[in-house]
Amino acid sequence: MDDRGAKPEQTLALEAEAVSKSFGAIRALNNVTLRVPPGQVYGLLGPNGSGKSTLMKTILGLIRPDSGAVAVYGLSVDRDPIAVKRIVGYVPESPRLYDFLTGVEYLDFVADMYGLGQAEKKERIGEFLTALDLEGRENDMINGYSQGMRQKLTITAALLHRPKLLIFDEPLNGLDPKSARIVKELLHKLSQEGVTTIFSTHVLEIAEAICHRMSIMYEGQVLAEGTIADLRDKAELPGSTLEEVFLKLTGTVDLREVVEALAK
Amino acid sequence: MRVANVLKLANVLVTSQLRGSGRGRPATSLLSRPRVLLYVDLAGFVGPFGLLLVVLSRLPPGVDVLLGDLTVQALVGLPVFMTSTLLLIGVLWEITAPYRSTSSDTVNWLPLRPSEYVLASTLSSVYTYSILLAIGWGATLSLALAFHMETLWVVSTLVSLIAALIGGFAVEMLRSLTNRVSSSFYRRGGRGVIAVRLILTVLALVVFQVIFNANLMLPLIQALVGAVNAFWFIPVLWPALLVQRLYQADLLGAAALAAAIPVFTALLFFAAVALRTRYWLPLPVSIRVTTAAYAPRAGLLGRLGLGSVEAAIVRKDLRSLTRRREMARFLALPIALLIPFALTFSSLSAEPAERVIFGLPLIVPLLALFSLILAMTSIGQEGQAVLNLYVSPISSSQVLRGKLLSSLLVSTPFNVAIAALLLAVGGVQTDLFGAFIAVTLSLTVESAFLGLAVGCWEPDFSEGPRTRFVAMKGWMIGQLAFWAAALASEAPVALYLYSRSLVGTIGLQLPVAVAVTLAVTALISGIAYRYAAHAATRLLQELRT
Repeated sequence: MDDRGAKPEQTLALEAEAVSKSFGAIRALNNVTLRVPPGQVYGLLGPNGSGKSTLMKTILGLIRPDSGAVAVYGLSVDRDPIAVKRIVGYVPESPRLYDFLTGVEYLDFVADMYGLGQAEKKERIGEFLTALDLEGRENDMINGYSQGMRQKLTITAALLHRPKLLIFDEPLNGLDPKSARIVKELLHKLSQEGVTTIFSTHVLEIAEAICHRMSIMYEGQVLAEGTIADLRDKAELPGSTLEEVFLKLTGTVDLREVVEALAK
Repeated sequence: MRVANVLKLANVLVTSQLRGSGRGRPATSLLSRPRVLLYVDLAGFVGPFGLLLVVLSRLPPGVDVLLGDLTVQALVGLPVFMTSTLLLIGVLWEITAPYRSTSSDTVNWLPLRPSEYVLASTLSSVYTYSILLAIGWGATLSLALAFHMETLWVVSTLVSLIAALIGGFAVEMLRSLTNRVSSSFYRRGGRGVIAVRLILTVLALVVFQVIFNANLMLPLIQALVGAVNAFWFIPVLWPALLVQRLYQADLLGAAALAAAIPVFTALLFFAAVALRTRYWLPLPVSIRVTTAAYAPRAGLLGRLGLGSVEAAIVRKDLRSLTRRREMARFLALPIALLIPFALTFSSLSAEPAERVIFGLPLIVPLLALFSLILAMTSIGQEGQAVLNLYVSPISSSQVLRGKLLSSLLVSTPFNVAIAALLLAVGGVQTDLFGAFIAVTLSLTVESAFLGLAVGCWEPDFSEGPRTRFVAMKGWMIGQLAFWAAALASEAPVALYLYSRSLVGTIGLQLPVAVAVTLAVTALISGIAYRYAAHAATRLLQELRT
């Protein structure tokens, strides 16, 4: 995709400067620097354990970096975490919901956490329940929801307060094709309205289709960053797919031996 | 039955419990391995054994007769103690695994037989709490050696182990039964049935706990030692009865009991297996709480002037308390604790008012315990969903206020109502009535503050089986702090009452005693709140799950 949505003259939506984080002997983030202008859908790609989720949690202030600094729309995550959370919507990799609440009670709870007014709560919750096909199940307790329904609820909760920055960790997990399409279109529309999205996925076709720019992470480091064209140049694979670029940059090109071993 | 599978599963269950409460501890640490319990047991055995051996060697002559009787009572009582304690612990921790970990538990889709699960689960429970056996065995061995009751000790040791298994099997039965209550009601759905399910679960917990409660068993044991044949028809007492028969050299009776105990134990095991086979695996079916359209409301809490964040936390926690199976134990606990206590006091020969006056200083802390436990578990019961609080733009003090109110809104009316009921039934004077209500109220509040401090300091967010919502270390510190605080707070009023009853007035006036109690509780509450605020700020700084 092109570089639309980028407005470099404005305050950056996200600025992560030399961020490092270790868990014991494991270096989860190693000197990661990212700058994302407002209005972009920014992809974080990388194999399992490459540090994507840790980086996302660090951006939201859920994990404190050992060194480096993160700012969201100019607000320091370290100094003003509550102000940052007010303008961020987060979808974790695995939804963590209160199973004993109904869908609508959960959304009501989240809306109260963000201080939404009664009228706004009703309007926003109603809109999302209809759009994501949750209408009719909103009064059921969450412990009866399928994985997809939980994911829809999590996405709705992240969008209720009209955040300026979305942090979506594998948001399309478990969604049916219609809902996945709605979410993708929604991200596109929000991007045009100036909302920034940091988006992680293992489905490279999706990243290729909706991300303006992306980073490929590996072992806590950013291996390459830019548009798909930039990444192809970096991998020296002109005209190739994102999957080929990804596998080359992460050093996992020849998978035949692995497949043969597994097939035995 | 495949014994290797049973042992492996038991090992996993114990490991899960050890690691669940040992947040951040590496898996390779000795404290994360089941073997550590063996070392703890060894210490638990050797410590009391050595200590009592030293004490016994220094006792003046003449105490022998008394101690001889005590030794027999201890050897006879140990099996009963094990059964009742396993069940008490079971009611507290074992039967109430969170919904998610029961429906998607790995054991449900592995090719394990119900019998293998029941045995493994029971063994893991017995092994986890084997420290009780070790202490009992160690203490009674030194006594048995001193009074030449070695054979009796060996038999008591064996039957107390069987008694622990009996308690474990009873827990398994209760686990399946409460699960059946949940499952069947979940299938039918509706707000009313949630209430019925809750009441039934609480009732089941209370009945089981009261039946096997050590407070009620104690008079039975004492009677048992004196009147051997009176309780032969209660199978749970057979292990104790066997020791008693042997002590009285009734070999025929002992042989009959020795034959009957394994049969009874096996029957309990098969009953537990049958219940598990029939009622296990709760269905992840949806329950519809209301059919009304969504209409956001400020609600009563909002009208009371609570901020939207605090009110939302309170609403959520109240729903948690009434809709989650694993929370039912907390509602059952104060009732289960109070019933045996009330029964004991009702059997005293004194006037009703005197009984209440004498008993209330002891009952009020039991009521306050309810407040402590609710507050202590209020943070950890968020489980993995605590992430919702971390990502929300809320301050730690908002969380703290919400949690405090949640605990107090439940415990205060309950505690004050029970205290008022007891005072009314006892027909105590008006000034004492008011004083005790004030003391109950202040101790309830104090305990909530203390509980919150511990809950914020040592929360346990794990969602595996046997979750406590507060780390073991926190649980123990909380109990110690609670009893110390309750003792200090209640001391002035208790001193006034007991001195008035026993030695006449000592110059301490009731209003003064109550005022000092209120001042002490206010001081302790203030200190606890400061700790809680510090701990909550530290906790919410970085995600710990």
